[in-house]
Amino acid sequence: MVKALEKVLTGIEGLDEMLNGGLPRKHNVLVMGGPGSGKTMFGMQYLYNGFIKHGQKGAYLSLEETPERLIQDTGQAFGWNLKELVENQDLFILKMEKFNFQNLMDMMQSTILQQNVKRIVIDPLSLMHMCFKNETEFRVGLFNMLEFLGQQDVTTLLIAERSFSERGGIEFGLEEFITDGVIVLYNFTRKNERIRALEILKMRGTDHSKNIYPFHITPEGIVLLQEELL
Amino acid sequence: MLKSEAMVYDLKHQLDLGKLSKLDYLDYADEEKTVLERRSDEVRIFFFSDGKITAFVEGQGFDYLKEKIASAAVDLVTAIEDIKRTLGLKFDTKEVLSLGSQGDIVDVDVSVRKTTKSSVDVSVLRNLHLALYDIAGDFQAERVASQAGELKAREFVSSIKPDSKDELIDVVAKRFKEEGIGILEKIEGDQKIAKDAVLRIHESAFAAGMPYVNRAVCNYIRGFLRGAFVKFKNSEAISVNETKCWGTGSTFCEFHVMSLGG
Ligand SMILES: Nc1ncnc2c1ncn2[C@@H]1O[C@H](COP(=O)(O)OP(=O)(O)OP(=O)(O)O)[C@@H](O)[C@H]1O
Ligand SMILES: [Mg+2]
Repeated sequence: MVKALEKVLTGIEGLDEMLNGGLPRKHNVLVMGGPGSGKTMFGMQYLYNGFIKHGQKGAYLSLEETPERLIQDTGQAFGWNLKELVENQDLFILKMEKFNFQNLMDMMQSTILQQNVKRIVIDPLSLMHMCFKNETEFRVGLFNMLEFLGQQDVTTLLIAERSFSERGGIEFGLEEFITDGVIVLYNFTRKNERIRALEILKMRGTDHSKNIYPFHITPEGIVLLQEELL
Repeated sequence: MLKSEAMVYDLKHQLDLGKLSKLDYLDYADEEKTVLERRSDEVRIFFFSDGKITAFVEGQGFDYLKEKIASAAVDLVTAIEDIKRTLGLKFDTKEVLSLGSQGDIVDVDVSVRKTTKSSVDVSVLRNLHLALYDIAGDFQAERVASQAGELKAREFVSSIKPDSKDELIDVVAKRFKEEGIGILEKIEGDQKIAKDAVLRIHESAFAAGMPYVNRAVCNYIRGFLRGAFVKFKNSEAISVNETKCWGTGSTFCEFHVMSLGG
C-alpha cells in the first residue's frame, strides 16, 4: 500500500486546496517570481500561519531585508504581530551579516535541532551565490543544503528571483530541477492593469491544480481567487 | 599473551565510558564489515558497516584501552553519534571504500601542545575527527562536529548561567583547559570585525601541529562557542567564524563572535 504523503498547510486561502491539502511534509519548494510579485509576503505568511494556525515554529533566513524591515513592512501591513512571535522565539528572523554559507548552515541547523523549527524560508536563494567563489561551488553547496534539509523534519520554501512578464517566458535554472516543488508568482500587465497570479509548476509526490489562479493582496495577506481562472 | 580486548561504541545507544561494552577484538574482526580503519600510535580504531566503532590496542586488555582513550574523545564520539542519528546521517560503505581511505594512517604531531596537559589522547581524538571527514564527507563532518559542540555548550551554559560575558568566557576557558581542548585567550579585537568577541585557541586539540589543508577544521570549537553565546544571549542570531586555524597555515586558531542585527 502506498502511504499518503503527510501535508503541511500553508494557511494561504485557496492554495491548500490547489495543493490537495498542503505542501508535502519535509519537501523543499521553490517560490519564484519577478520583482514585487509578493514572494517575501508569501514566505512570511507561510511562517505566520504556521505558528498562529498550526502551532509550528518557523525560521526566516533573510539574505536581503533586515528583521526590522520585515517586521515593519511585511508584518504591520497585515496586522501580523511578528514582533511578539520573535520575542517568544516562535519565529526566528535571522539576517546574514556576511555571505557565509557555514554561518547560514549553523543557524539553520541550530533552529531545527535545538529550537524545533518545522518551517523554513530562505529569501532570496539567489543571494546564496554570494557565499561561493563560483557556480560549481554554489551547486555543491545547494545540493548539500537540500540533502541536509531532506533529512530533517522541516518543510522549506526557497525564494528565487526570476524576471519574466509572461507565462512561457521563464528560463529554468538548476534550482527548478532539484527542488521538490515549484510555485510561480506572476505579475502581468493586462490592458493597463496589473494582475497577480499563482501557478503550481510542479509538486513531487502529490496531485495538484494545473491552473493559474489570480490572487489579491488583501488586509489579511495573499488570497487566491479560485473561481476566476486566468 | 593476553587476548586483545576491544571497546565497542554501539551507535544505537548513548554511551558513556562506564557503560561501554567490552568484547574480544577477535570476535569483532570481521573484514566484511570493516568500513574504515584508523590508527594512532598504539590504538587502532575500526568503523563497521553495522554502525559500530571499535578500538583496541594490540595485546592489551580493556583497562589499558580505557586509560588510552580519554573521556574527551569519548565525549566527542558520543555526541557525534547522537547527532548523526538526529541528522539521519548514514555512512555509505561503498562510497568510503571507493575513496580508498581504508587503512589510512594519520601521523599526528602533537608536540606543539606543550602546555595542554590532560588525559586526552589527542591522536585518538584527531583520528576520530578525521575519520568523520572520510566517512561522511566534508559537509556532513563539519555539520556533525559543530553540532556536537553546540549541544555540549548549551547544556554547559544552561547549568552555569554566567552573569557577564567575561564570566562566560572564563568558564568556557576553564572547561577547554580541563578537557584539553586548548588554551582560550581573549583578544581585544576590532569591534567592527567581531562585535562580541575575538577569541584565540592555542594548542587546539583538533588542529595544533597539523599541516596546511586549506580549511579551518575546529568545527567542534566553533559550534561550542556559538552554542555558548546563543545560550548566554538567548538569541539564535549569532555567527561564529574560525578565521585562523592551523589548517589554514596559522599557528593558533582564532574565532570571531558576532551578534547579528535584529
Ligand atoms: N498592504 C498591502 N496591500 C496591498 N498590496 C501590498 C501591500 N503591501 C505590499 N503590497 C504589494 O506587494 C508588493 C511587495 O511584495 P513583496 O515584498 O512580497 O514582493 P517580492 O516579490 O518579495 O519583491 P522583491 O523582488 O522586491 O523582493 C509591493 O510591491 C506591493 O505591490
Ligand atoms: Mg522580497
